[in-house]
Amino acid sequence: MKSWMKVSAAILITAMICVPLTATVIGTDSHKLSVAGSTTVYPLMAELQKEFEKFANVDMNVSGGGSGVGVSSTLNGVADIGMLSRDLKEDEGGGQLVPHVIAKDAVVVIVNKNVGLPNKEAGIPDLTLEQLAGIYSGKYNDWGEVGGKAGQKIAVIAREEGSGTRDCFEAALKTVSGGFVAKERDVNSVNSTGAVLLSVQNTPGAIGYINLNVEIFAYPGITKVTVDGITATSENVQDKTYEISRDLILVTKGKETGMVKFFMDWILSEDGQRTVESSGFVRVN
Amino acid sequence: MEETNVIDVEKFKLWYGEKQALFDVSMNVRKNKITALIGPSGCGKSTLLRCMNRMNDTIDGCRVEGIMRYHGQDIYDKDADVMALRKRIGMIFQKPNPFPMSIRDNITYGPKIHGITKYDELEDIVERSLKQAVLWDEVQDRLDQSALSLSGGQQQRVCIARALSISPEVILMDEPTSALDPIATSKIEDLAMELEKDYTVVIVTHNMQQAARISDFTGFMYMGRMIEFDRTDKIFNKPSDDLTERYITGRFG
Amino acid sequence: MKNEDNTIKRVKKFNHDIVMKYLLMAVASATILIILFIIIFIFANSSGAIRDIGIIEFITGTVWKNSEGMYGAVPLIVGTLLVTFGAIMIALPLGLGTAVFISEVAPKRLRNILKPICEIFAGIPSVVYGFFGLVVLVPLLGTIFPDHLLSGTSWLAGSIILGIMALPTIISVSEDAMRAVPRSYREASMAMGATRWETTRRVVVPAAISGIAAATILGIGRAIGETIAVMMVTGNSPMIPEPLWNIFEMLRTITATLALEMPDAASGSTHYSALFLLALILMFIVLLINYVAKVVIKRARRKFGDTSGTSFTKKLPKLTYAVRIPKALWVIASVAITFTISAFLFNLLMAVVYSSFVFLISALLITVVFETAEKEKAKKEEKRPPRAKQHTILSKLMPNVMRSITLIAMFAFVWMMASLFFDRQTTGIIAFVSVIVMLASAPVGKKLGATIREKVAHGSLVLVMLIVVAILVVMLFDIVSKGLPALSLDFLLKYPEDRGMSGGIFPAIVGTIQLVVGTMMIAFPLGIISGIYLAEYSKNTRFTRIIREAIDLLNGTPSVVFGLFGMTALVIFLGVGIALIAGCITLAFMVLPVIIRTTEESILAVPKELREASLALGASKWETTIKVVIPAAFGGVITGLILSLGRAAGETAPIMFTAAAIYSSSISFSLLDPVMALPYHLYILATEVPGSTTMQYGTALVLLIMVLFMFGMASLARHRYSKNIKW
Repeated sequence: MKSWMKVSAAILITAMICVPLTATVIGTDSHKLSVAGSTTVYPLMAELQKEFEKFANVDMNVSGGGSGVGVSSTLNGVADIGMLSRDLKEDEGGGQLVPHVIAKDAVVVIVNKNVGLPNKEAGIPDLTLEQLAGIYSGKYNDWGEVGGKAGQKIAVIAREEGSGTRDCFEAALKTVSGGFVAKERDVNSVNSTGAVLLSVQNTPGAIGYINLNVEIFAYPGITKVTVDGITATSENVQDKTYEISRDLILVTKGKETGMVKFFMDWILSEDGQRTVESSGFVRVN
Repeated sequence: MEETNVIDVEKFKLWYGEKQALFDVSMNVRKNKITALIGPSGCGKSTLLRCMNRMNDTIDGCRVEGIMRYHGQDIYDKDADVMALRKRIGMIFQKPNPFPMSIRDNITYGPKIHGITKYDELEDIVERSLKQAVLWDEVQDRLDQSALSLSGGQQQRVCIARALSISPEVILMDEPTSALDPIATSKIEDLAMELEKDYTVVIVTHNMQQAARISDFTGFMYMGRMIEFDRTDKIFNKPSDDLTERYITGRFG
Repeated sequence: MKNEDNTIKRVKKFNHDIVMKYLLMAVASATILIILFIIIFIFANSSGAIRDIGIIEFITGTVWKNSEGMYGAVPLIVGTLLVTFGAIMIALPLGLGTAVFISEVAPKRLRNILKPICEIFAGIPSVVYGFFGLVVLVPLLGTIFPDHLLSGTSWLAGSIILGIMALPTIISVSEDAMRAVPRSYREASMAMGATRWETTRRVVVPAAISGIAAATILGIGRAIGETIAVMMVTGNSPMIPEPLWNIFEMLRTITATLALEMPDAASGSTHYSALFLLALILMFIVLLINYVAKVVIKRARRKFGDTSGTSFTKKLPKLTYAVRIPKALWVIASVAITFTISAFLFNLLMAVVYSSFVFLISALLITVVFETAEKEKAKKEEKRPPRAKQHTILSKLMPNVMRSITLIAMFAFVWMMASLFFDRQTTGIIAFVSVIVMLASAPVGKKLGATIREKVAHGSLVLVMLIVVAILVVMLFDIVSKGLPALSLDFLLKYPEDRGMSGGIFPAIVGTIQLVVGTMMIAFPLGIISGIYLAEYSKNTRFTRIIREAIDLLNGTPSVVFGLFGMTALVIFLGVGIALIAGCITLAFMVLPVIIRTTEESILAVPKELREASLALGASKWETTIKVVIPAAFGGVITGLILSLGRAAGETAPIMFTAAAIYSSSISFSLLDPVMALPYHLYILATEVPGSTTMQYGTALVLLIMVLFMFGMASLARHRYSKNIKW
């Protein structure tokens, strides 16, 4: 083997060993805060991180992985804070985890503009929760049955089984008298917000639902609807008059201390909650 | 005795890309005779043979000039049907190359290609061809076995039977015994002489004794040229060319 | 200097050959440990579901609904099988046609252009396929079939995308098989007056049939294990299509379920372990498929390798019908019994699913278990004089039986497809007419003559090839033309802003490079050393056989399963958290088998004479290996390494639970921090951030360029070294 090859091989091997080592050393910095969990909460956390780092001398590190990873990472101490887009399950965390509601998210119902629903106040059409449950359980199949254009078939668009948005939506529908069982046939389940918007835009007679923070100005064929006459505004979500909503939760292990406590307090402060609001979520206080 | 020419070759030239492989070759093939082509390796004898049923068409960059006629019709005419030509002029290759199919399927391959589908007819062809190739007695019990399970000599006879299955007029043999042992070789030689009654045979060989033993006519080729073409006894006993004589007597090169 | 020392007694006490051997062996055994780890982790995690749900209930349950706590795997298994079946229905004709065209019809110059073009297909990362499916194919299908599809996400879309992804495997493997058919076969056929098409159809394709079958099976394997692309276009509704052949319905595969539901499943819950049980089922299916592929390939080798009497028209060597019929009966009986029982117990659909499973397994058993017994039987039979003309009636009937089966299948297929569009009466008429047309076309074709038939056949091959090339061109053109406007220095060097709607992808590029480099550091030493051990030092002992099996198993494991393993073992169990190091280890495990295999193969390709020359000069085995063999095999090794890196750079499923951050606002060089990565960023943009079309295309283009660049390097390296060294 030529000598330059030997030299370069040696350099490469040394580099292989040294770079990760030094990187690890450099990486372990003073005030560190690591957060992991739900990808739904992630965008909000990214905004909070940006603001909080301006405010405090801290090196934050936020990763996804899902609610499950959020719980387990917090439990075994890899993360200081876990993000959840659902409630903490009873058997989860063995009683060691403390949940904190930091924001609320709501689900907004959207329809294709051609469904012929009459505009109510503020120029927005309305559906009752009972009507929504009827549509999504298969009781109503024509827009005429819910006050829209008779003869226009309802094209039901839902999120995929397992989606947090879907869980939130269906949980609200279950509160109507007579219960709610989602119909399974003739439902177009799509697995992203983008796909919901596209489907509702392109399909005549379509109805779907999206998160509150999603902008629909790029989709002129879509209109939001109010539910039981209530618009999904921050105030309505906050005081629970708008029913289709859920909590975004952070969990900590035991009672929080130090930097974790500082961060949690900051989130619930006016500064933190303003960031929550500007990210399209609903403040809790 | 009046003898008809099956194939006439006059001033035939061939190029592989830029390289010329045949120079003004002239010869003819008599009906129901065995014609042998001899010469050192790379002299163009196989190339010439492969021109007779246009197998060289499959090689990229191959170009020919001159005359090659089959019963007076130009083989290289642009209206000539290559498939029909090859049906009349069959070929046996240097290495036995039976298809990896059963013996039966090997033999029925040609007839099926040319439109025979009746089962009984095909069975008759199998039997006739294998009998002509003197293989029937050896394989009649195992027609459904792979042809590859036979010995080299038997495989070569399967190939001959396969060529015979479509009843060609001419059979071209390209060093058919070079990959075989002496016993199998002599069987193939006997077979070639047997075939002479019904078929016209052109055989390329580097084995001079073989040419002397079985052929009626012999052409000696060297460096892409036909040095001498004549009756076999004349070539081997009284060659008119000095080069031929040196080759025949082994004082070559 | 004159050497007068004639002693041959060993002087050195220390024999470094043996030391090296055990050192190498130790590293090679690491592969087994890795496999064991993966299997143990998946098993351990799935035990909860077996306990809570029960294995039988799990694989017979027809409802998968996490919110109701119902975990029945049938819709997912059916979804996986259906989407794969559809993919093969699309990929096989296209792939085989293209392979035949490249190998048999295309002139040399065209072939030299087409082969690399087909290789590009293999280089495109699956997330890019999924992205293309989502933004181009899905809306297109929605426009073509507005009455059948709401948005276009469907089984059909999934099968088309998967079919395209399976194309490169099918094309290259079956093309190789056809090229391996000796030229002499073709000459023999042509010399009998067969046209080129007849030669192809009747000699080349049958002779290469095992290779083609292997290609198909490998394609199926690739399609079944695919995650991201499928998840993006099938709609992910865990329902069994109704009717079963409704290609417009949405369905969900096992892989998509794992990727969709794993992130939010609570660790240790029934849901969580049910997902692991699904992964186990997936591994089992892939294992089964790979095993069948291996058997088929072995058979192909045997056929061309020696002449021990295998006949490809009669698949099994030297078997009489007397032996074969009971075997077929055995399969039919077991399938029939399963069908009846499960039809009673469950429903018709389940009966179909189970009997096809039983069919697969019993077919496998037969090939494996009975083969040895039959070989011995065949040996005995050889000694007895065989009977003449014993199969006349059967041989006479066989072609007709095959023809009828084809016609029935054809009728059924047309009927199924037409029934999706028309009422029962019209459907019947259409199916009937198409079968009549099929029947009539044979005699008409015969009348036309061989030359015209050849022209028609070659014409359709050209058409198929053009379709394949067009798919690639449309894909590349779409991504490049819409991605180029997004490319700018800012895009490459800035951080993403507003959830990725604007800004750049700098951290994703850096993260991808970090992942690739980390993967390289872990996988290269392990892989190369194991390869050297297997090629130079291993004998055919049980130990090396186990290693080889482990490598094959690792090779066939779907990437999403690696992701699950990384998540449970590294992220949660070892407590590394979502981190660069977890992603690198996961990716390294994934590419390990590729590196080992290419290293081993290129070392084995070095001729024995070279080694003997070195050994004859008194060099030790280790010296020979290091100084002679490895430099000679360098080109092949390098190619394998670069290819594996290209694969690592483009994968999404293994990193999405282990290393990927959705957004990051700084570059971290710590091994314990998550990183952004291009494939995952593209996935998030395409599915979660509506309105970021330009950014999506830009990201896709950058990813494509990065990966194709690596593949280009690989083929350059291969080209260079194969030119320099000729054996």
